[in-house]
Amino acid sequence: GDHLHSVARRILRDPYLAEDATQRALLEAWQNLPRLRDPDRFEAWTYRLLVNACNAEARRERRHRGNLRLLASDAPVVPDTAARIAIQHQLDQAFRRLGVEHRTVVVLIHYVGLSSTEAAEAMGTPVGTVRSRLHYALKYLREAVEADARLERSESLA
Amino acid sequence: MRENDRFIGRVEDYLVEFDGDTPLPGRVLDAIHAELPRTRQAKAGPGFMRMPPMLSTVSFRARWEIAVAALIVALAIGTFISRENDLSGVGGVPAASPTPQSSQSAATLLENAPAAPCPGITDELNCIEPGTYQLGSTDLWPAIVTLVVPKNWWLYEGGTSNVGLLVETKDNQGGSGWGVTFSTVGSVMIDPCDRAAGMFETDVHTPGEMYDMIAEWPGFEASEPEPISNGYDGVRFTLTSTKTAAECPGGLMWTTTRSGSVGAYPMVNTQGRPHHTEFRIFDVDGEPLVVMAMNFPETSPFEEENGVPFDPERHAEDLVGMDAILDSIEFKDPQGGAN
Repeated sequence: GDHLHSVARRILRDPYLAEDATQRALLEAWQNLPRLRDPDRFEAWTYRLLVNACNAEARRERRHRGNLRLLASDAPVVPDTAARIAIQHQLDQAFRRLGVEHRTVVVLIHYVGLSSTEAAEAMGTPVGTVRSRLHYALKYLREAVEADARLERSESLA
Repeated sequence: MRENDRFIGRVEDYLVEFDGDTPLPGRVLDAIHAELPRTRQAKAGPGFMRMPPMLSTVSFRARWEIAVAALIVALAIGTFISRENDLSGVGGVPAASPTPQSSQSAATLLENAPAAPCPGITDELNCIEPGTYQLGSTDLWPAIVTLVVPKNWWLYEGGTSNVGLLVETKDNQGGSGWGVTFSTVGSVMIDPCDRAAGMFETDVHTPGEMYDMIAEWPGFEASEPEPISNGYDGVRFTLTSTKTAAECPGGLMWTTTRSGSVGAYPMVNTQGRPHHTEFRIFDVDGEPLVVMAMNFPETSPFEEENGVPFDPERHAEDLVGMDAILDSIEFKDPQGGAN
């Protein structure tokens, strides 16, 4: 439950939505556990339920954006140099701007550690789609970080 | 360490450090516990593993632990589970199958292509099943475009009205970044490397107009256009650039008719290599449709970024598959007229 909750928080970036998504996923897991045909797929199956729940909560969030409380973005666990904190902040800003599908693929692969095939199974999409979304997401994040960095440099020179 | 690896390391650090470790609040578990008496469990079908009966008097945590323990025990003693060969593994979700999706074409839409192994490369379902497909719905494309996909290719989704087929490779799990893409055209950038310059004011309606816009791009070189036709008239030319990604950040060539975007890869790349990319622009009743073929034999920029050593002949054999795709492309009028 804690791990699923951590994953949901990173995908949805809203603590209330993440709690709701985790609750939904755990209830569905309970409800459908007798139908799970292959115990080997238990992990992939629970991720699939969580991804579906996150997508549902993200759709709900778009309809009720006024209730959104954003997670704090300025509390790194490890104290670090100003430059690293700046990069974390830039990544955070850029990550927020990604759509939920692109955030999901980045979280599943680079946080949870799934392979492209496992992420595809969790998301219910072809592997090619996962790769495409990951490629786009990383490209977008890199360009956004570089653009923010250039803007900050030019502002500091002004 | 490559720049790409460093950046991914930063992303992973960010994800790990984001929000720290946050346990699931007790109120969520309480809510789940309150919901459980009202939640009926699905019944297992015949032949499926049967879970022990869940008594409503047992706490949620205990039942969850029982469920997980039961699965572990089942695995440990090698209980026989009826195993169905479908992609989802989740009850009730059917596997995709190649069935007609369009009333105007007997071919399956590319987005619905079944996953398949990549023979000789991997048994994982990384590729799409070889066959004839329709590029996409006529809601998003101005013509019914069909093509034949050989083995060892997979679907790349670059955005709305921007899709591609990329070849699978053995040694780059992230994909090859080499293949052929299809896109519609909304507005063309005046300079792909300078978004502030904006877009050409006039919409582009003919391949010739689009070629003229592309030929003006600073830092890009377009060969002389030659006329082509597949029932719809068009032009074909090659485009190269010596601009690097650093000189052309976020390189953007045009937007699609559905607000998607088409980037300047592979012409613009991290290494600054001039990769000859072939463009075929067709006039589909006043709407351009672009086929972009990365028909160069060398290692792709994406592969190099991911550590694949440069090899001038890496994709020489893959050109056969690419030519097969290009030769198989057919356009049909979505209104049913012959073309």
